Amino acid sequence: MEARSPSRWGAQEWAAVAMFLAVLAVPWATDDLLVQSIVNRVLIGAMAALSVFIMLRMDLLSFATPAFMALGGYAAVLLTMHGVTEVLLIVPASFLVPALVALPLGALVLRLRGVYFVLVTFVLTEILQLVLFMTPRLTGGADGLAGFPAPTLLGTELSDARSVLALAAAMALLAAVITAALTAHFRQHFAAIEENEVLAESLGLVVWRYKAMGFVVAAGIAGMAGFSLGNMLLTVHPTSFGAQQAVDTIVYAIIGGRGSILGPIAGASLLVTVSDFLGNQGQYAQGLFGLLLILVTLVARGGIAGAVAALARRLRAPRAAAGPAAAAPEAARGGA
Amino acid sequence: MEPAAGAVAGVEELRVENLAKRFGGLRVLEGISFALAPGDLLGVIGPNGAGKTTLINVITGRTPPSGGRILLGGQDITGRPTHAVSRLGVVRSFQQTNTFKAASVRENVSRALRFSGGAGPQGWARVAPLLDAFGLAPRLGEQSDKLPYGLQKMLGLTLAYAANPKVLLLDEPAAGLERSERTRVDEFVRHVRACGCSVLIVEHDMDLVRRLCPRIIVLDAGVVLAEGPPAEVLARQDVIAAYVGADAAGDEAA
Amino acid sequence: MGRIAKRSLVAAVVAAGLTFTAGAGAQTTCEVRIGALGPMSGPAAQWGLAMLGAAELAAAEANARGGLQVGSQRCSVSVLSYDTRYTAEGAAAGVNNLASQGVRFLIGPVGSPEVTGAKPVATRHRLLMFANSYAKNAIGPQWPLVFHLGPGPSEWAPPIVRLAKEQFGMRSVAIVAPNDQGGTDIASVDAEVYRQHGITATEEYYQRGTTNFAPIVTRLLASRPDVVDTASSPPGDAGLIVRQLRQAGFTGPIGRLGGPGTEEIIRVAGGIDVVRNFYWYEVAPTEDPRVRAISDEYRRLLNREPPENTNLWLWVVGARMTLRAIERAGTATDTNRVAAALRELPVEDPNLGRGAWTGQSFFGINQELSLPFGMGMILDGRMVGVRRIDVSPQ
Repeated sequence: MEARSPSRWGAQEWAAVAMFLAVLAVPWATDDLLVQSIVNRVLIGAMAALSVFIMLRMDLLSFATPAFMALGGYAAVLLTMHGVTEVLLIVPASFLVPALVALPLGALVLRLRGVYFVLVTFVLTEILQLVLFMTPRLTGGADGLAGFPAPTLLGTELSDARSVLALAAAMALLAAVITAALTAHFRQHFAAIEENEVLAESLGLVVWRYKAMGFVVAAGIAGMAGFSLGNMLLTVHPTSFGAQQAVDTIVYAIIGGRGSILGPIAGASLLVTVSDFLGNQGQYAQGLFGLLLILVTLVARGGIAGAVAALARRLRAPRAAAGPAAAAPEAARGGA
Repeated sequence: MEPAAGAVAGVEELRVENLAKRFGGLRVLEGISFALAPGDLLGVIGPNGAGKTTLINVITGRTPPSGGRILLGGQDITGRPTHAVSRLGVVRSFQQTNTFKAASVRENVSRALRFSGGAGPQGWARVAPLLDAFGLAPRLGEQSDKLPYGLQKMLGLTLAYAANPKVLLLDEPAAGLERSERTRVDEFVRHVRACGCSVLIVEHDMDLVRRLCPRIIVLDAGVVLAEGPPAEVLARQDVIAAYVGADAAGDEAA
Repeated sequence: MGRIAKRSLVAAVVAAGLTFTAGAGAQTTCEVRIGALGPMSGPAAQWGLAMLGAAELAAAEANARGGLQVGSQRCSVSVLSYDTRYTAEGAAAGVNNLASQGVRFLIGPVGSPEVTGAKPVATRHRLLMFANSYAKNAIGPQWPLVFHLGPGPSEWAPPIVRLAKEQFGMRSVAIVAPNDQGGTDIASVDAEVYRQHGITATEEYYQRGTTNFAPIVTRLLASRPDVVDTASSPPGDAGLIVRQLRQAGFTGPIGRLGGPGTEEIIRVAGGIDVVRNFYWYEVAPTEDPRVRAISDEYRRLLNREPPENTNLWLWVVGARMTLRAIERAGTATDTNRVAAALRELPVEDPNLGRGAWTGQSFFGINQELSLPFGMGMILDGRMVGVRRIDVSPQ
């Protein structure tokens, strides 16, 4: 049987989880509405970007994140409207419903690569808009769903601004733990698929199994983000789950850096904050996103996280100047 | 270069029966049949576009055949997915350098071992002689796409061998190598045969083919034009006309 | 290293928050902040900018009088704004953003998705909101602090359809609108009103953001309608639809029982000759000199050109009424008391004239500010003008 090497978490995984743990304290640290609002939206954006990040680990650029967000969001909200308000039930439901839908969907779309995958996932998001529009009795159609009961935790209602934010932070923490666990456990597999899928397969890797696993988990995390968004807005609405959101989410992940779990988190933090300050000029935010995207593609392919890591290496370089001499005996031993 | 004992158990015969592949109306392979017994070494030559790489693609499940069967030890493996064929022991190498580019040499090998189900010390022990022979052992920490081209190519071959093959299909292993580096391919082939692998080599380098292969097949426009020992086959007028042409005639003279 | 970068980001966020808190705390003199919330960019930007202009004008008027008398204090009025990008999410974020800067009164938003997104968050913060969407659930008893600038389609569509039928004698109509709430909620009411007047109505919806309307035009013309109605399609879209309808050989009249923006439609369509026969709902009697005086007032007080959208004239009334209600309630913080004062205010505007509070029968709450509106018409490529239609109290 396959002996798995221990899937150890690196510093980045621990840092990501520690960050969200720290954010759990924010609802109690400040009453400032703006800070709470921005942190809440950063958390949602980061969750959605983590979903994109998982797919990018396998070199797949997914535009389907809003579709899965909608599935999770509507599923959770429909549950609350039918009397199930316990977060210990609806949060798992917001993960499982999109994950279960992703499973058969993956069988269809994961055969595709590159621009074809992009196009098909884009179409999925468009189809979902259509489905929402055509099912007004279930989903409220173009009006969306509003006025649903607040979620509860073991009987306590989570309706005030503080609990809404705390729930968002807890879900983001869960999403980060799941993402870190998945990408660390299958680091070598995902990297092999990203770098050379054909070779990996011909060496015996069951590529579709890992892709399906990634797709399903990415869908689940997007679903939790969808519920978190609905919980913040107190409404699930088709305009929250369109192609524009797909672009925004991808931009968070790529500008933040696709190579590290910290990338999507940094990207969402920066861009959500910046676009809020540019709130009065939405077009500038879009322009800035575009500009940053060009910059990242041309100059810093690793995004913010990659650039910071490179800078860190540069700063450490002088200290390591004596390195080669020290390393030489070791290399000699290795060669013996 | 002593092979690790018992590394490859139960080597089986690969049998290709009446294999055909058409892309739309285009006939790429037609009526291809041959057998590869344990320890056999078969050369496949032919002009560009003769269907050599397609033959490897079809056997390894990259593309399904339009007709015919592929049997491994009597078991029908036709149309199985690539990873399943690989796990059964039919592994290929690629014409272009094929490594996991951003990964180190060590990670490359460990991935090959892990993906084929052979992670652990025994796997490394099996691959170690090849790493030593190619001079890859001191460079385990280097990123694979920063290696010189010849070494990348050797790493690609090593990865295929690391996947614990019973049958190895090598797609132009010498292409792009310096003349001085080509003897490494000989070394590789000798090593894997000593372990009991059977090997199929698609190759353009006629010297290498003559040196290594007791038996060759000539493909032309998707059909087998000739089969037999190289000296005999390469002397045939139709083979020279179809494929070898002026170049090989020159080779012959030299 | 990533951790450090992240920490500085969090610090930046928190620091930014502190700046705002400090800003709010530094209000030594009395200042009433009203928020303009709407689409300030993109195809619906005209509407948002008109709303912002209205809020600015009302604030300038109040400041020119020496400020608002709130209880014993004299307060200046300032306007803050936020771009919703015409989404529910953007509107909710905007409410949070504006509320955190001390805004208690919102003018806007304008579209149905925005109103849906803004209402719950505004209610959570107990903000008073003057929304203007045609959503069927735009206001209601469960939203006591949400007011509506009206009248809505159920009020203005019947007289316009009656007059249009007298003029053009149509027997069938095809209605086209975006397939989201901003489109469907109004188009479905339009269709119902046409049917009540004995006119066959079909509805056709398109994805917001579409730029090629050829397939939609083909589908519209498939039923050979006498009239095509562009309902609440954004002006830019409606202009393209008009142009492509004419290119496809459609010669019948084109209606617009939706929003304003006729000038933009004429521009995009390629001139008034292309538009040819056109009738539309106009939010205000735009040719009434007293109504037009609002624009002069804007130029005089703000020293710049007013936004071109005629929504401006309607929004001004909402903003003025809100400020009057604040004065009458004697508080700029207790929105419940301001709302109570607003409900009691007679609808009487120096420019638009007499209106009425309506909404009880359609929304179940009498918080719709109904003002006189207009019906515009273009006949054979000639601008006939906008006639005033008055509303009656319920």
